Amino acid sequence: MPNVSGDDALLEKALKDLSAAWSRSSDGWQDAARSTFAELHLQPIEIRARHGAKAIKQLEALLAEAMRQCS
Amino acid sequence: MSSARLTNPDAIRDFRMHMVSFKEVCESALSGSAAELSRVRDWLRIDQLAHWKKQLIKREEVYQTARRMWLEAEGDTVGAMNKRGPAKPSSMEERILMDRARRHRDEAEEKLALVRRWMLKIEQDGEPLVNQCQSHDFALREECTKAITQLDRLFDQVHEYLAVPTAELRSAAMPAAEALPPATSAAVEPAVAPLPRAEAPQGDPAQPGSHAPEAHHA
Repeated sequence: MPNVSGDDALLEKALKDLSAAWSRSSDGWQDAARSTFAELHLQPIEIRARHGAKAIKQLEALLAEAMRQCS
Repeated sequence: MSSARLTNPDAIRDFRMHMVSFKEVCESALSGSAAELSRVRDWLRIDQLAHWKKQLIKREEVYQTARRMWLEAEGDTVGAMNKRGPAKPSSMEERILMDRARRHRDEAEEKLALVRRWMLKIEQDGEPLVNQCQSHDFALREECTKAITQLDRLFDQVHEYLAVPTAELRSAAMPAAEALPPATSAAVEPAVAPLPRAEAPQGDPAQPGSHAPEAHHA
């Protein structure tokens, strides 16, 4: 039986790590360019990644249920 | 004009490294969805469908045998009562075995139907989810690449401002595989204008990580 990868959890963790790294970077970097970067790049990436993680999660749930019922 | 308050230029470089790692995880996680669906689809179609078809044939045979034995036992029981011969008190044991065999056969039938239903459902519900994953994958690759390029640009601008040879810094600070063309490339519009020399920091320009005083972006 195939394994479910758990990629959604990996992606969620990566997102969390990125967010933490961004917060840490504020110690040495606080300016308008930072705000612009957050608005133009970081926020769209976070939103996109969350949607991606959600899609993976739904797919994995579907596949896991198929394997559970058909074993 | 806004205050830069960039006290540690390495903050950009460090965050860039996290962004590169994040991009790699995204690619790995999202690009694997099609393969994952494919593995389960093959498992259903090749393994499980064949398995339950065989099981159904086998269990049907077991049930038919059990049913014959029960019918014989029923005959023996009735015959023994009529002829007053050697008595077979009941066919209950054969009946129990037959019922069990029938339940097993029915279970195989249900599993086979279930496998067929899931094969269809995987196509109907799984494919759109894979498409979504691929769409997010492509978009994230593009968005992360742009973000990394922008961080490179900011990094270069800061070090240009601090009059430190950026090529030297970047080769020391970033993996070669991720090194990008100079920020002067016309492909991406800079988010911040070149830093005015009139507002250059008073600190030692040769030491970018030495907490340069406030710089100013246009």
